[in-house]
Amino acid sequence: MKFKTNIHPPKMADRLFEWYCENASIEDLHGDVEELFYDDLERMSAGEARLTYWRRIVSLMFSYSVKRRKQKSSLSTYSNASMNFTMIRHYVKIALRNLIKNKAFSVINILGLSIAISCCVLLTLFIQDEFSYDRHFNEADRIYRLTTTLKTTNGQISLLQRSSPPIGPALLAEYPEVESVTRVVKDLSTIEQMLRYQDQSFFEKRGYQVDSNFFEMFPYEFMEGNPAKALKQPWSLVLSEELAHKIFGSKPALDELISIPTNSDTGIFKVTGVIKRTPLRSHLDADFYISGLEQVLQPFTTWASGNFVFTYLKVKKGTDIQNLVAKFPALMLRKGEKENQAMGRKKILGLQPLLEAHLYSKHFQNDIELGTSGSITYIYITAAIGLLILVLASINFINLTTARASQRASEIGLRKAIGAHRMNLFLQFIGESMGTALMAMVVSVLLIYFALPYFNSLVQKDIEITAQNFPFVIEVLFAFALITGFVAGIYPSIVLSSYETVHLLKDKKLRLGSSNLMRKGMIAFQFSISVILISCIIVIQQQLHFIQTRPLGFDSLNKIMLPLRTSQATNRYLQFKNEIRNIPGVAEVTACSNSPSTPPTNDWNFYPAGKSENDAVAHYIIYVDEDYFKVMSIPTIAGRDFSFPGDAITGSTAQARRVIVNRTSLMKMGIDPSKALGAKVFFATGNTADEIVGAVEDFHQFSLHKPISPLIFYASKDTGVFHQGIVALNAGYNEATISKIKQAWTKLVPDTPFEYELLNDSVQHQYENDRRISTIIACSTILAIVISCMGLYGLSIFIAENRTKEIGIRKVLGSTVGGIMALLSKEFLQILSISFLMSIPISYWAAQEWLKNFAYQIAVGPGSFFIAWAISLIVVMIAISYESYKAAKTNPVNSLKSE
Amino acid sequence: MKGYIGEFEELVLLTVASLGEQAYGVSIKDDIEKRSDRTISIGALHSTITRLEEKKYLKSWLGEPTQERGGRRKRFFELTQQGKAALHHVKDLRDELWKLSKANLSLAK
Repeated sequence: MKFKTNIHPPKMADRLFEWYCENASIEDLHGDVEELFYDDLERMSAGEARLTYWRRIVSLMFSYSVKRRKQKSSLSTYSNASMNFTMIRHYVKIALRNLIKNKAFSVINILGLSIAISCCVLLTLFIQDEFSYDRHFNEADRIYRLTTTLKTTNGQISLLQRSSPPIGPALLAEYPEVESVTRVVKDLSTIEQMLRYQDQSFFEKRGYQVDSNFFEMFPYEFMEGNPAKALKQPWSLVLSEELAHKIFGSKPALDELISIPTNSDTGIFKVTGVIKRTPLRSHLDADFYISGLEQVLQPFTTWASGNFVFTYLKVKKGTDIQNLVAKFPALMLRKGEKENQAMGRKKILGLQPLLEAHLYSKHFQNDIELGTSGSITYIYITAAIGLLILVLASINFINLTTARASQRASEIGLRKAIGAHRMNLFLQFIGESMGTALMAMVVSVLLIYFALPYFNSLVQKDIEITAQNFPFVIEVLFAFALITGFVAGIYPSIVLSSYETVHLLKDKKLRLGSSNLMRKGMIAFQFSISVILISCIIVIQQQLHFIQTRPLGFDSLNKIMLPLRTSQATNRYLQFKNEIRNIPGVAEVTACSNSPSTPPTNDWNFYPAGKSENDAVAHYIIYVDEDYFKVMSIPTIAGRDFSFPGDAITGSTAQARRVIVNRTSLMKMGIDPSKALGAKVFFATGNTADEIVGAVEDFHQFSLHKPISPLIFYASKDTGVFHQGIVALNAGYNEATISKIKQAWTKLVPDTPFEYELLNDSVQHQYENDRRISTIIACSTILAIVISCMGLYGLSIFIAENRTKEIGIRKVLGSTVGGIMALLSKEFLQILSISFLMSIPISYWAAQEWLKNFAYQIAVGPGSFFIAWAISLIVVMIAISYESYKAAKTNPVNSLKSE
Repeated sequence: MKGYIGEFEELVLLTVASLGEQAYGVSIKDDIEKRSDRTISIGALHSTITRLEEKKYLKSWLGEPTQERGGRRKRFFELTQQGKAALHHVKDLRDELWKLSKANLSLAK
């Protein structure tokens, strides 16, 4: 049948079959199927025959026969594979030989890459840890935190992640979309809370009072007790495993009684649960939770003020959050408008997703936050640092590989001559770089193992490699190793495989014209990074020095702070004061509600006589004891100091009070210091007028991150408002004096352990975070410089080797060692100067960005950039001078005798 | 038991023997299908052939390319000494069992 001769087997099936069998020898099988196809055409229609052909191809594809042939293909004589086992073994052998031949290059490459991989893995673990916060809670995506925006009529805006006590429950009652609400409150009066068990005391920073349904919204795993019942009774206490262990050792904690004193009273709580320690993180993690928040918040009915409650809402599935938030203003208008207006401000409620609470809360007024809050900016900085180090190490690899390649010119040429395709060479070189990266990965496992504890203390985490995250760590390791190998290998592989065979074999050298420029560019980039980092670290150090030495407006030296934690301590404060005044080393004793470095949290709005509520200025309130300003050496600029007991008040009585304000307060309220004496100021929601009896010079109540705020001082007769006793010492810090103070304390306040802190230490603690960042930047700077210098050292070896003959001839003609060293270093110095110019704008920008964190900053001058440049210059000279010197000292006879 | 071969393997070996020098994939398939009146899939046939080759009962070589089959060469098969031994082994076992049969195996009534 003639017409059928035009019919061919389906092409698709052929292609599929050939593709599937790769390079296995299957031509006999394929031929059989085709022969059967033409046989079939005699008996059936073309369509049927095609279908049968497909069926046979598929049947063969899944047959044992093809499977075996595929396995054998790489060894079979019929195979046309270019990447068979023998060749791979050969490539591995060549790669290893090259590694061993150029030991210096190999060590630089592997060490550089392994440092980079370790950095990246550690930083990935850090970032993963930061992103894991709160994610483990059930339906975490449906939980939101209630936020508050306060806008005063004169345009001041403050953002709070807290709100007023009754709002949460009201939202639950008002809107069906809201499924449940729970609230958390942190004791604001003190940084650490004291827990007493029998005669032992424990100080804990993280303790919250919570609603009884807290563990329903935030399920924690309990080791003892029942999460559903633990908080149902008031006076219940749930401990973390760590704290329970600290207090009770290995004994069960359940039903034990623990007292938690505050400076006004003491509560006795029963332990109803112990939370199991897990690697899961939440911004709500605490060392203890106490119940009974409902009862405590019962009396608060205001919708306008009292924004101290963290409120969490869980909405029903499918709720449109925008829609829900849009309903809030109307409710606010109904419930709190009058009061808001009286306070001269507008209050807007909002919702923040729970999953953003940890990383995206830096814009809130951050004097109070639950837990330590992370920052997405840090995440970006960390990721950038990790990537930079990876890039720096890859640049080393690229530069050294392309430089070294000239030694492999003959190899590449020969390969090409006997039939290697460009692809074969490309795969060979990229394979080599991947292999090197994998070796670096093995080294980095060791580095990570040893660096993890230091890394943890640097970033204040306790990241561990456990059975759970081990697979993840391995994945990350391999991912970074392969990515690094690929990124570092791609450019050299393309370049090395691109040369013409003839040139390679004739010149036995690679012409590195274009890649020379590329190399210079990459070195310039490396040095820009180093210079930028060094400039940043210089600026940071200068700022930190500035902070440490700036006059703070008060005398922080020779003073100790005694926290007055319990009611016994505050009640007996005056007795204690009289007692220790007679100790020879003690100069003065005073007390206050908030000393500098322990920020006050109450802010009330005051306006001067003759102005209206709309001009009210927020003031922080501080209660002080007699002689406070004298002891702290804060000068008076107008009027007088408090006179005791005449000016002293008890509690917040409605009587007219005499107050002292600071200079900023006078300025903001528009009162001239000369007229300050006797001026009246009004409290925004009350009608009582306070009388200014004096004004003091500005001093830094807060850290230098913040501008000086208006402060208002009351003299207090009631010692219950004092949180700190301040003792000025005569002869500086003296153990004998301290032990006498301690004796007096133990005698008078037996139920509170004696503790103290130097005021200056407390002031410096405010900059701990800045110091940590400084350390992190310093570490990455050192890493960056080390990696860059290793690369430079490698290149200097290469350049010295390449110019051996030239150096020999120059020496014969009378060049000095110095002249030759200058010749060899000239190129690097040029590059360094270019990179210096490139780095200035970035360094300047980065330094300014960081300095924005401080209200009081140094001016960034050109000096720090020049210092950075000089430092990198010196480091570079050290890195390259050894090889240059060696080359310059070589006897020209040795370098010239063989040609 | 050493040298055990299955029924289909025996069939393939005997067919290869009967086809002499013309034993290759398609001819073996056609012959078996014609004689045993059943269809066999090409995948199953080649799998069996590959197994027999691995057991060294068959050896193979590639023929010359022709105009047919898209210029693809045929792979021809031939029995090896072991292959013959295996066939004998099976046959002997059968004969012995026939002889030992206590039931009357004759089809005549």
